[in-house]
Amino acid sequence: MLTSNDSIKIRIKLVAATAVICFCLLAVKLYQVQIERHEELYEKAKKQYTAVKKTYGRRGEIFDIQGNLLVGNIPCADITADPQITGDEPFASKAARIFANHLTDMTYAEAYSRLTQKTRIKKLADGKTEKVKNSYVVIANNVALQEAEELKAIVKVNKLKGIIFTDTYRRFYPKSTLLSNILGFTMPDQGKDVPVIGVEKTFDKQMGSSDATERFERARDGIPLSYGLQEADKVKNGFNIYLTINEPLQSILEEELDSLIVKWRPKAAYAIMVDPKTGNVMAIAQRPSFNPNDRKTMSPDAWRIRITEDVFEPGSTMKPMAISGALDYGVITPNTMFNCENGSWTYAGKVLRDSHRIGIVPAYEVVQKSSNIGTAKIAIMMGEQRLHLVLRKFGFGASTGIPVTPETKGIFRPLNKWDALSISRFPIGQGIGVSPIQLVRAYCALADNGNLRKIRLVDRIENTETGVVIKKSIEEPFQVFNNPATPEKIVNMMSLVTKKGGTAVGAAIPGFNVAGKTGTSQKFINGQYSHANFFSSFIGFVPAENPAFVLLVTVDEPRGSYYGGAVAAPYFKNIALRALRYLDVKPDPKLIEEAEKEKNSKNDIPVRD
Amino acid sequence: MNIQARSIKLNKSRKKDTTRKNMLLKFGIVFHVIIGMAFIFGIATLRISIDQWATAEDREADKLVRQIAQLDREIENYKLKKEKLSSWPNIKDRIQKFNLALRMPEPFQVQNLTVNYDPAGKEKASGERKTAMLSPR
Repeated sequence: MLTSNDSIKIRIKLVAATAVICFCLLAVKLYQVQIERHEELYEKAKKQYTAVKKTYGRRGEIFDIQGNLLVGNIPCADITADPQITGDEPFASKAARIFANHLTDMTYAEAYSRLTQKTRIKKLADGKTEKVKNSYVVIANNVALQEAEELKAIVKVNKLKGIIFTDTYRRFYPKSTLLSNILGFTMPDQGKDVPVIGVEKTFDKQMGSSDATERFERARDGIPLSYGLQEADKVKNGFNIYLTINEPLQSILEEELDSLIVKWRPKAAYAIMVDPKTGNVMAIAQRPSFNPNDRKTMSPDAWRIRITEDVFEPGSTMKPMAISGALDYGVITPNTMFNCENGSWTYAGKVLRDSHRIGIVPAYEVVQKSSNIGTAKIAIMMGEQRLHLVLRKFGFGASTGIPVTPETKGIFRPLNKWDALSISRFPIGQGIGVSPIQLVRAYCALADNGNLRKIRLVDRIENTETGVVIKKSIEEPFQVFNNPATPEKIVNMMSLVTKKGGTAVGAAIPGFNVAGKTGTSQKFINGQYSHANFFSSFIGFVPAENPAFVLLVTVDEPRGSYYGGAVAAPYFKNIALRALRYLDVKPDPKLIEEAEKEKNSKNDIPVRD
Repeated sequence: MNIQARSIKLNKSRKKDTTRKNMLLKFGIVFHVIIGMAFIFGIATLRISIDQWATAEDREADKLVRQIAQLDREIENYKLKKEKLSSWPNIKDRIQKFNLALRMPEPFQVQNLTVNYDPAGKEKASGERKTAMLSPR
């Protein structure tokens, strides 16, 4: 029989045994948790208190030469929601009403359907589909900062949970259409800006940014713990690009180009202003154009950079290059007489015509009155080889150096592919194709004493993090002429074009010597020259003796008239006059007086090109 | 069974001494333990309060960082707004809207002011000169 002492002893033993078993079980559990499932549970716990934050680097900005912003990054917000939280009533209808009231292009039905989209269809690898839980819907992307802040406050006041506002940046073009073709644009793709065309594309490597992921241990409210683990990559912001463009001049150019479009309703038009002493593009514009902030109205036809991509027959604007070559080789002087055959001359079995009848005239009048026959005769005197070399020296058939892609090299046949007619047609700008920028480059050489320079569009690149600025150097020019007297001779001849009796009196600016040349070229359509479709151009520089800029105005298929002197020259004058005033280039009082006298005298009918 | 070899008197006095010594010893140990525990407690409390303070500071810093980021975004927004408003088409619209009789200055209305200029701050009689425009362009 058990005594009370024995009973106590047994109880103690039982309790001890139970405790030991419990401890053993706990030890086993501890082993399982701490040793066997350590990795799994550690990761699970870590996930709970570790936050991952993605920081986006900012794409470089684009400025003009004076630091006026042309392309920037505007702050905005992406609004997303978790339908597992937002998908129930009355929450969903309340939130949908708020979004519909505050977001443009958002209806109540649309917002409601997004907020309540608790499941989504997932496509499996075997092609089948299944319904899965959905915890992410986009309500709106790129919401303007002010709008997003207002919405955020409303969401907070209404205690709406599950709506996330993510701070982002969107590419923004504050000057809208200004320089849009050259600047190009980007398309947003998964939080990145993917460049499509223009400077945005050419300098993507420099302007591109890199994102960074930050991992940190956080408190309950998401604040990083100072004593916790912190890992962070470094965000790399893109470099800023400073163009050679001058925004006020660009505005003048575009404004005048717009009024030209209204007056002549052409298919397209371009205008380019370049500093001949540096090759800096001061202003450059084309129509049609586009507003890169408004993607709905953009069309590929408007994106195309016609200034570097398009090839057109330059017509009479080619004549100064050929004639300057003849002057340089000493084949002619400005006073050498030429028989312009009263407007019709047969060469190599084909008739060459002038738009006006002139007889025997000196070479300077060939330029002034833009005689095709006179120019062809000068080229024939010079010979094929020399003409070919001269045109090559002016950069035809080669790229200009402008950092915009794609850039055409134009159409310029090698000497062995010239036919009997080539020597009479190439110097008058027929059978040869140039891009507008090539033509401007060649005129820059005429304006700057024969110095052919590369066209510069980018002046400097700035590292936004270190502040280091890399200036793009101005390369040494190539000298086109052998005789140092040639530039003055050809410039004097070209100055006559805008004077009384010239083809472009409409381009004359009182107080300034304007040297230039008109060009009216028939378009080559379906294997023959059209009598209805023309390119009308005027290209020149001012003041002729010390040019502030070279300016080209080209109109593709103007309606109503087609002569370069009538269509393009007046716009050259308008742009140049405003630009000279902006640049504070003073007129010559003697020339003002001369202009006044000429104005008072009987006006002659201008000669057509 | 008494195995004491000493006299009772002697034994009595020795026992008293030993008890005191033991008590002192025990007190010393307890004191040390208490000191040790207090030290540990103090360290732990200090660590917790430092952590708490650091967290509070972190929270404050994070709040400031967020505020700075928000201000940066607002500044960026204003910068772009300013650029948009200062573009020529916008200015031209305003000139037309308010019917302002503005026109370009005649070339000879624009005067240049030439001053003696020394980057080091000393005025020179001749040499480097800086030109400033009087009339707005």
